[in-house]
Amino acid sequence: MSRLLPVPGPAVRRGAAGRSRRLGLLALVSLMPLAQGVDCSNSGRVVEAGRQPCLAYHPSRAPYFGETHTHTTYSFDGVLVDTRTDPRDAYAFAQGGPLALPPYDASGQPLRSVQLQRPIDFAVVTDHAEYFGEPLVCLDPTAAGYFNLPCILFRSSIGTAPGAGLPPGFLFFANELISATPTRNAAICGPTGADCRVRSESVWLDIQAAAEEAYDRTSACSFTSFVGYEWTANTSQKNLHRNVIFRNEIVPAAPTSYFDAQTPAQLWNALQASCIDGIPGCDVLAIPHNSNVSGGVMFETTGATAAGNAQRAKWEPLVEIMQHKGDSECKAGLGTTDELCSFEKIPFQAIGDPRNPGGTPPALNFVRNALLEGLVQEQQTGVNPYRFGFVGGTDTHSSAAGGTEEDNYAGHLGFTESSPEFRLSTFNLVPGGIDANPGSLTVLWAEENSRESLWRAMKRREAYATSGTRPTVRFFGGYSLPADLCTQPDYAGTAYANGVPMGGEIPQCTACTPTPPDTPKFSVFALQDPGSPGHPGTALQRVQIVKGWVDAGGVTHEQVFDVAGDALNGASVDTGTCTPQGAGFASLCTVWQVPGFDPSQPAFYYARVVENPSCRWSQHECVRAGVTCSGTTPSVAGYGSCCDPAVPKTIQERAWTSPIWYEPGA
Amino acid sequence: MRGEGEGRARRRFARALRDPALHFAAIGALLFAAGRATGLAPAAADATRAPIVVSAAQVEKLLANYRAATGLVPTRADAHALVEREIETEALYREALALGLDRGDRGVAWRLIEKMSFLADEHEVDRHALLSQAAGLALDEDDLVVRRLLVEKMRLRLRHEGSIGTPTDAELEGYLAAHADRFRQPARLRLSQVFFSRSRAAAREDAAAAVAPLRADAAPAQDLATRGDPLPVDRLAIWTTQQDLVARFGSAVATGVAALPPGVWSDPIASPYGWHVLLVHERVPERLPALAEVRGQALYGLLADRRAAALLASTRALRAEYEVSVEWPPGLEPAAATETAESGS
Repeated sequence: MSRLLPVPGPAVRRGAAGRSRRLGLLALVSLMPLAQGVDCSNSGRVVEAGRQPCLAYHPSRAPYFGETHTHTTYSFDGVLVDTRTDPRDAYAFAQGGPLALPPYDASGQPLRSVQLQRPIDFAVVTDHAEYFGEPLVCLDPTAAGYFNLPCILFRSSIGTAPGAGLPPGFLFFANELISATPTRNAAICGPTGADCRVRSESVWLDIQAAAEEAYDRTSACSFTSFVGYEWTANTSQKNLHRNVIFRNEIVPAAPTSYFDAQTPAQLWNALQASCIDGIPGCDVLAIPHNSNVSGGVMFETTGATAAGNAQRAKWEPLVEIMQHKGDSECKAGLGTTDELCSFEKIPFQAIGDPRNPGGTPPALNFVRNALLEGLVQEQQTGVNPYRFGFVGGTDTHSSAAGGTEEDNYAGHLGFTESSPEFRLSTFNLVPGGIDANPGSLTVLWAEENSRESLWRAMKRREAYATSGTRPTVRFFGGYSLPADLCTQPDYAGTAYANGVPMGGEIPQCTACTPTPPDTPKFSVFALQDPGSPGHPGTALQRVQIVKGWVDAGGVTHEQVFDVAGDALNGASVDTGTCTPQGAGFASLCTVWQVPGFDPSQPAFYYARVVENPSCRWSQHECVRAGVTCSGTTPSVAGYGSCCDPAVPKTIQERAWTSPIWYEPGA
Repeated sequence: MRGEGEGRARRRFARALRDPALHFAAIGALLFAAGRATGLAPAAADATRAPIVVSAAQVEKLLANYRAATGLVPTRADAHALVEREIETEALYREALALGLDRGDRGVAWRLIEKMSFLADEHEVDRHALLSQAAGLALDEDDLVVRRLLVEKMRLRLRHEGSIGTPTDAELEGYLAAHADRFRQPARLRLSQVFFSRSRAAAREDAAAAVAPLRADAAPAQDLATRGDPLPVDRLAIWTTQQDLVARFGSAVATGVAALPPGVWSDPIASPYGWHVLLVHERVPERLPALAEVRGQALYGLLADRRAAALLASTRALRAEYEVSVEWPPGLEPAAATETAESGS
């Protein structure tokens, strides 16, 4: 093909009208775009049939801000926290519209709403695939299961306040998700499960319809949606959750839930059968999240084989590094002395365990340790299962896709986080409240804001995550990156020509003469978040490169290098007003050569860009309410966390780039 | 050739079968057909529609429930919304009874049996007997649980009726026009810039000095890529919008560009990052896309709106069939201005 495919025009419409006479309703749908990747020009630009090429096309790629983890009223636990908004509402919110939040008054009107200060560019609604149908049965008096015990408990549990313990309606549903042999509840779904299946189909269709409605296929390319869901395995109360994301609108007739697949490998096999092999044009990937509450099993490698590792690497090119229920990068004391690892940690070690601030989680609950384990696996089996890039999400259960603003946080758990008092309270049985945070964003470096372009960025891991703010970050590695790259007017063009971007791989330099030329160089270029009118962004403090490697003896090592900026710049924040104090950097750029590089050792490198301190969301609440402390006693009832020394008042927002791997002998 | 064409048609058909819009339409049609097949025509607007009366005690109860549920003191507007909701509920309940939705309903039967078993001989265990005893005593009348069940059943039915029908082009055009704010595309401009980074001491002077040569150069495009300092994003001949410029470089750059005539290099404009000298190549005014460009979005939007609107419209239509009188507690009577609206519906 040498030309762009035409947008559906009059000829297509005539064809559709012709068929409509024979097929009736099909006329409605025959105009719907069908994704077929078509390589259209010698520049490699791809425009799927059914959409216009984007006017804004960036040959050196642009950063698109979005998120990959949003729940709505189609999640059973969303219903339980009285979230009544659906995927349509989530996508409208992501694009800047207002979102209704619980509580609702007696006439069904929401008493709260929230709106983003800045819209995002893309989003994925990922409702729990397990219970699309069950809540609808329990809320439908015409359904046979309506008056059975699980449904009665489910209804009575909707909108219960935090601190009351896990409502029985939650346990009835959640218990199946921790069982190794989960079964659908016949008391809800009927003996054949048909009642839930039928309703589940209509929910899955509505999820697809909402994604269709939100995806801008015109040349404006203002917003991209993806069809997705969450596979919710908690075997033995340990989190193995994956978000499953489809490349386009061609998706299987039903999602693969924990009822259908109980292990990650079973999930991948099911996706292979139902999507890749099942439907021409279907493509899909899976993103693990909340390894921090996986009790060590998310990245466990006991008994791993080369084939199993390869399968994992194929399906899971990305990992969600942070979200509402905490940061999963690393934890001080677990193989690291990195002081910045004590960031947004939640005091839970497994999803089903109660809050335990003194507990020590398994090391493999954290992504950096998994990256190291991946190098070991490569040494032992020949295949690295954990060569993943970084993305972020909110995991909102209130449909608030992209709601990561610290000073505009309305809670992500519906009614249970609907007031400052609720948000600032301690949740003892499920992560939330004061331990939680507004979540994280995914940034994809793509040529344009289309599904195909963003999908390719995800597959090649040209992605970074932020703790919710919007710095722009480039990261390149290679042997021939020029030392003066940061002063070259065409930074990106030069860097692409001489290296690989974040998510890439650097082979051993066999043609290089002995050291120093065979030492790879890395470059980071970061711009601070420019903020939005009335909400200035925070300046940068420093740029770090985290190196992890494994030696010949199979022992792993890590080192964190400050490569730009100034850790001692003295910047701070006035916690009484949340006003930043002191200077930082609007932009930082550097080219860095690895000191003491040993070409025989496999390694990964990722950049961490750190902002000056700013107020944590909880401190914004305290300032807003004018709370003062006398010892640990707050001046306003219900605001105890404002005076609790264990609750940080400030944070350093940050971005994590996907790693670049160095592979000896490759 | 013929075989290939048939294969393509089959594939197209198979794809069409997977399309959510079709499934929605089909599910809607099935539900509609099912409703019709039971022989339940909409209840006739007959003379049996007795006026709906909301007593002062009922109003007080609604207000008390609201206070209990929300912890808020209801305003006059809240009170009127609650009463209006109650009137709608009553209309839905009566319609459900008129349609016979209670007959053969397992939920209603369950409730009546449960209630009767309290009243009946404690040795009576035959559920059918209990049910008929309950019916004889008219235990279903004014039972709150039965009422809630039937109202919810009625709502589901009305909502499903909204999925019926394939939108015509004219309807889709109407939807597009009615939602012009959502579909309107902002003005676009194609922009080049030369950037001078704050990270260099002389950046401001360099930016000022760069303007005159840029303006004098007849064809600067040749070497623009080699001028100024780098940005991590493309800076030459890139299509963008005002909103995007604010998001990327802050308000000052966006405002400066808005005032810039095409073809003229700007004076240096400050951003958090440094100084930008910018050239607008061309502008495209804001526009409302043609239906063909946004057909999918409009179609799914219209179908979703219809489902929501069907319930609202049908409920309102039902409610309009009734004369309504409300015994307002003192202090909550409708204000004079709203009185006609209240009674006129």
